[in-house]
Amino acid sequence: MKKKLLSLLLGLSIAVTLVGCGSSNSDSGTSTTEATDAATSDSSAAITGTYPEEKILIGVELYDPTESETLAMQEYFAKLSETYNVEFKYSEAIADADAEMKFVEDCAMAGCKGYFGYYNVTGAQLIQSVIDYEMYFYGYYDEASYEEFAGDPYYLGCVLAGGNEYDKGKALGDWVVANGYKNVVYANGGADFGVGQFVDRQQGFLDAIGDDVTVTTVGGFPGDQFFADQAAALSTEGLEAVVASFNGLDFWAQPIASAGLTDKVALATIGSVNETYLSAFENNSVSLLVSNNIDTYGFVIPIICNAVDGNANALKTEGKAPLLSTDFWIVNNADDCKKLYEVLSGEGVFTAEQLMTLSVSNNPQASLATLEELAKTGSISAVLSK
Amino acid sequence: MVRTKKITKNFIMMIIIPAVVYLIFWILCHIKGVTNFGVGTDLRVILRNTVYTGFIALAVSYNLTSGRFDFSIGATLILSTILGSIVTLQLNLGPIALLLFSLLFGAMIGCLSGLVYTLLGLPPMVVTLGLAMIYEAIGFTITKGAGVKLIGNYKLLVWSQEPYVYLLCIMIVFILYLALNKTKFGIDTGSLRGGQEIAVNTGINEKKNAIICFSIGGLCMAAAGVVNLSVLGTVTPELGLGSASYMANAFLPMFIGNILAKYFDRNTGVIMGALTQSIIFAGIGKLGVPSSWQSVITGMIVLVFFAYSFNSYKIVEFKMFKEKKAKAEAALHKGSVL
Amino acid sequence: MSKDNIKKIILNKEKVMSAAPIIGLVLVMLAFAVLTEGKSISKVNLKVLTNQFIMTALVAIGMVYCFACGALDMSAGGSLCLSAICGALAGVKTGSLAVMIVVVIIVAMLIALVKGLLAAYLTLPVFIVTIILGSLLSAIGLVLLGDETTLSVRYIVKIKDLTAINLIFIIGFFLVAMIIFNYTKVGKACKLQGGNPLASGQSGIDEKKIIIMSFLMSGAGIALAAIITILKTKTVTAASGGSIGNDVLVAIVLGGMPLTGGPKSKISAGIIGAATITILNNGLSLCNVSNDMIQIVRGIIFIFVVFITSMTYRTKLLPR
Repeated sequence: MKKKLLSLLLGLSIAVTLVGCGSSNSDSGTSTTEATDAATSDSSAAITGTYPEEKILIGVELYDPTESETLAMQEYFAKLSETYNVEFKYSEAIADADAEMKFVEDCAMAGCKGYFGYYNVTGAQLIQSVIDYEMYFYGYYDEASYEEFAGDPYYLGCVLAGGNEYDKGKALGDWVVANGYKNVVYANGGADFGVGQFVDRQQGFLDAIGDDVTVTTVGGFPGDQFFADQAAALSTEGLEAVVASFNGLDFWAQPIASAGLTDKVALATIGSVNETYLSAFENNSVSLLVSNNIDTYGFVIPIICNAVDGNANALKTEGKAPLLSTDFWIVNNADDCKKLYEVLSGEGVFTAEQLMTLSVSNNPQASLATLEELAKTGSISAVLSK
Repeated sequence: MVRTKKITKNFIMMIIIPAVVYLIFWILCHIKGVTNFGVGTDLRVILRNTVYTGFIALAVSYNLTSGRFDFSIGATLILSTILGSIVTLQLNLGPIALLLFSLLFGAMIGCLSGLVYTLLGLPPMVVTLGLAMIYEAIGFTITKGAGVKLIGNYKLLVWSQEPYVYLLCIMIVFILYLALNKTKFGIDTGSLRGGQEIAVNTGINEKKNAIICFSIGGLCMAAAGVVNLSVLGTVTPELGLGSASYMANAFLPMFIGNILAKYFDRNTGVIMGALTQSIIFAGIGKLGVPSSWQSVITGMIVLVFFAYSFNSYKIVEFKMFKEKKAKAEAALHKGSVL
Repeated sequence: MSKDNIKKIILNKEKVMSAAPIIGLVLVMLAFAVLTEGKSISKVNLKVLTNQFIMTALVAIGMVYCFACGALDMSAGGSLCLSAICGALAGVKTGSLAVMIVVVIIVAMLIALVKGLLAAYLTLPVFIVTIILGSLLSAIGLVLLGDETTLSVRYIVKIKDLTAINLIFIIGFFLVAMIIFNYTKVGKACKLQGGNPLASGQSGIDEKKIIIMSFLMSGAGIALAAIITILKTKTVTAASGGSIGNDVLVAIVLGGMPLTGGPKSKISAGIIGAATITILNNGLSLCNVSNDMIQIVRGIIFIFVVFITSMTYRTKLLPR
């Protein structure tokens, strides 16, 4: 009798959750939209009402749904969705090629018109699969795949959110040289495993610091071995700085503090501006942040909307999809960090109105030049002067 | 006199495995010219890792040795630490409150797992798999995916510093020692391990025992979570059963614990096992083995260890058989000569 | 009530209980057909579903043998990863699709043989050893990949539409596996071994041979799945086949297979369970709810469906 009651209870709870699933499906289908005519003062046809008329579903492939940059990006997209009639379909944590393929298929079945390759396991193969399903692909993997697909009508190029990885590493190296540090620790992440972005960052770093700096390398990701290497590295004689190629605040700040070295050892890292960095700069836990401009990811919306309207060519030159990048930000003090965070959590570096200038139906003069101009306003000097 | 001899022998057997392994790696490192293995900061890190892995292995041992595989311990660690941190921050309390709240939540979550298991009567692997998914998702939703960030909050993050981490370890192991060896619960656990049907027929309440085992598992995982939180300053939620990887390093300490159980106590044995494993991991790193090879080598060491410990009785059997055969042949020979 | 009537009632109850996995599958399918307004049962989506459930189904069918004889093998992911990597490396070196397929099969069967020998001749707790072995095999795969993190075989694999190959593999393997499992001595010995090792040993069944045979069957399933994944994604990484261990476990439990093995094992558990979990995942994805909601729903549905399908083998004592 008890078991029957229990199974009934479970069944009811499932029914409730499935209904919840169904209703949230229909709820998200009625997101509010606003008319935007503020930025279109020089264009002839201003769009009022919803744009695009029919809601566009965009699939976004994620590596780690719990990462702070990913979460910040999702919040920014939610903000932009108030102006644009778009909905995002986020993947679960994708680590291998099969899961990626499954997600592409699910996106196609759900009716996605566009696909944002925020993360990409299989490189050119992913782009090919997305194109085969007649979805527009926005993203960049490497030179070879860009050259291969640049002319394809379904490939939309990308605006990179922080330049290339080599330059980020170089920025870290330049900081070491500028501060005259001679004894540093470098956390190289996945460079020993051959992961492209870490290898590039390490190369940029090593090229920038030259030969007269002692570097202790700590490889890999948090685990028993990492902690042992980290402790050994932190106890090096005369250590002046720790340079982390990823997540320096999450994985190095506390160990440095616990070892009592916060005032003696500076921490530089690659990451993206968020709330925790605010307090970190203020209490001197971190000295340098090389940050992506995550609002650059917002370009995916107008570019895909253009393509769905049939206006993708407006932003292309010689039939090749655009490949641009906004500069990464070099943040080295609390005030700058605060200002950047204010802009990011407020109206955004690129407001919805500014992005609207890229939509051809809203602004018939939209072209590659418009895109380049807008991308330039994402540099740190431009944002700090807002 | 005999008793002292026995106590000394037991003590030596308890520490001999980690001691021998330490010595082996110390010699290897010296041959290679590495001097900072197992001393100073390295030793501190080894001991801290021992406590962390030891807690996880203890949690696994209370269920696995009774034949129950618990998939949800990783998710329990994350969720209990998240809940403990949130409450401590809301009420603006100190590190002891952080520890106690996390332990409390850990025990409660473990108790819930045990209740679901006993009420539904499904295989534990299956139940805990489903519960792991649910706990992970709850941890993610409560913190909106961001987890808990306590970086720089030195007041709260003491549990990875010495001597607090050692005090925590001694306290938990002492409590578990009493629970496993001096209470009815401990004796019942042993009986159930030996023969499930017979034990139940003699009147042992198997369901109560299982729930207590799960609660203890949750408690240990919460303790491990607090240590981990104090090291990194953050707790990040997982999704997609990523939490299942937390127990990957728990098996070797648990089996060493089982072996050493007959000399003193299983819980202390598990800690000794965790110490051995931490020494091995640290040593391999110091010897300059490239990162991609480290997992291969440690995996092989664990497999070889298992193979040996589960099959060593065969060597003894073989020797006994040879002796018997020799005796029988000698007797036959004697008989035929006569 | 007469004895005959009682017997009829008991038999009917058993029949209904053993059909529970299929009922579960149909219910899940209907539920999502309604929730996604028909998208989940459109022709295109059904084709996509077939493509998606193939890998899990192939490995699950093979794994039924291992679980049936009591050897819980958790290293499917590692074996698949290593076989795929070896095959891809060979394929890239020789530029030949045929070589790649042959190497995948050989490596997968070799790994299965080693696992079988370890389980049969060394009295090890198979479950825990295979967990460790799984990560060991993936680590070896990582070392073999060397500096590359992903290995692309786009230029060797020119096949675009895999539906025909998928169907041939799954139907063929299922028929072979089913015939061996239900109608031959090997399959029956397997079930008996899982149910009562002592009795089966006394009846003259060679325990070691049966264990090795069941690992070889699961190795065949893994080989086929590895071939499919290379053909479908045209890429191998060190994480290939990563989550298939858990997926297969979930699938065979949803399919109504008792985890302790024994005579109540069913070969259909592999294919029905894989279909159920694939439809569930696909349906949840089509609903477009947030990741954490998906996981909560998945967890609850999983426990519920297992609760129903496990009624056929419920015991008085707490299961282990």
